[in-house]
Amino acid sequence: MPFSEDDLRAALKRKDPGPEFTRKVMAQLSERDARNAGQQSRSGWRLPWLRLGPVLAAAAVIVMLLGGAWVGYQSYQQHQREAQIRKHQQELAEEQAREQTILALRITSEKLNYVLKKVNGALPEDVRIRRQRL
Amino acid sequence: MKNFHMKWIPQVFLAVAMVCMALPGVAQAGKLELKNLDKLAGRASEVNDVTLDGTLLQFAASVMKNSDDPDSAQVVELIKGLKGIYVKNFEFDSPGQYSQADVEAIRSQLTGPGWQRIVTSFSKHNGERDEVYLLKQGDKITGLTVLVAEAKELSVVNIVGTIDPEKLSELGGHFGIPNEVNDHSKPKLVPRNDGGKSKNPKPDK
Amino acid sequence: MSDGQQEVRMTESLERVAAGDAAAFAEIVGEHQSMVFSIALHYLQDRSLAEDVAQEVFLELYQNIQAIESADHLKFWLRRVAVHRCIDQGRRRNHRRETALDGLPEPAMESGMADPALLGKLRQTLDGLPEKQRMIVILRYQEDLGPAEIAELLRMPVNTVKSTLHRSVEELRKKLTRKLGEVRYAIF
Repeated sequence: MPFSEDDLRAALKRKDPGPEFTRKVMAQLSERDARNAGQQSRSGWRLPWLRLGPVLAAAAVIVMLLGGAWVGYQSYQQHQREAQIRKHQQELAEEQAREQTILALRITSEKLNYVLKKVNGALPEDVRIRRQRL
Repeated sequence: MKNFHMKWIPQVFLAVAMVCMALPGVAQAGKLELKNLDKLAGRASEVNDVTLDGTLLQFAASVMKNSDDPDSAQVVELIKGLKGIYVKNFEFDSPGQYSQADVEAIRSQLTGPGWQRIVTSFSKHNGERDEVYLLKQGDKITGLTVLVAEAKELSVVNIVGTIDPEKLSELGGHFGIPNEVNDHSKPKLVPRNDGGKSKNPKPDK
Repeated sequence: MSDGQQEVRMTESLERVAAGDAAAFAEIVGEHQSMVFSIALHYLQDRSLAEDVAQEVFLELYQNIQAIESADHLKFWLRRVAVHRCIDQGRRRNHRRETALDGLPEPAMESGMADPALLGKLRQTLDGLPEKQRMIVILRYQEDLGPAEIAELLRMPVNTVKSTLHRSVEELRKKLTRKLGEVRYAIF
């Protein structure tokens, strides 16, 4: 049997298309909306003076949509970056707390053990045990 | 009547504020003041300075509780009742880097009510002294201090809170702590019950 | 983020999109792009084609966003549209495919997993399976879907999915063994 189910899962693990993908989709959406708005205005060309209001309104909507999409995407990216930074900081804090606790307990145990051994005569007085490399 | 109340409000407020400001100065029972040792850091070749107060200990416990590591469960159990762990550990390249006054400033805090010195190792030959103190409230141990004052080392470990020295010894073999602590042939760390005669012993000169 | 939290977030994003929030749609795309892109990539074995198909899926989503009822429905909808677009695209294009998977970073290897060479061979061998078999394997092992879910997506009977899956994996094994055998023979 050349492969297992886990191998298949590994081979077919999801791949991220990259950060540009979302930008491309949003850009295509904006283009499509712009095209649709353009088609609408062309159909009213025979009587331009009657169609001016809707054309201007459509143009304003397109501009707002483009601007909104761009701002929205920027804020989405910013949100993602901040979330990542927060996550990283949290992980660092957790690791530090864990390490400090273990260090404190190590030293406590080491010193306690050292004193007890000395008292019980297990260590000659002229033998110094430096802090053990644990 | 209204004016009478309004006159006294500022004084009452001030009194409450003063009490609140004084509150942080009220020492947590069993916690030693170790700041005087900070100056030794500059002369030491190795320093371990750890301050874990209640909040940080709780945070560490919650982190380790979520860990898959089986050793972490033991640590969580041990630190459950603790309010603080304070470690000052200095190692020097040559003797004479700290004074007896530095040590006495620590030792004098351990002559207070509740502290019992249960272990002393003293060498007349070189003046080195290692001690273990327990703080007891009734039958419960609510504090532990290990003081190691040797030629090239000064270490103070101060633990505040409900501690089970048995559980501390059970940590041996985990997290790099030597397993020899778990050697049950050695006498355990048990405070003497001698009617309080050993309470607040005077330090030897 | 837990599955529950993710579901709540997606439900909120859907509501916001319905209210005209473009940023919310970008969030939906970001959340599901790996899934959609990977279905297309593993099926078509062509990165640029896979990107095009994935983009079309999301553009179609935008057109039909009002019909999406929940976060679960969203996932189901995306998978179904991705699957059918991939199959359509696979039928349309010619068979001069450029396998362009090398440029993509491999997922982080966990200890004990097979070597990248085997994984690459597996993907290439998958390409040789008929379209329904290929898609069933992808939905099973990439998306971790059960036979019932796959059957619903592909509009096939459950038992047919089960037997097809079994047959597909056996065929992959045979093809891969033949491939590796050829390599061994070439070396020696």
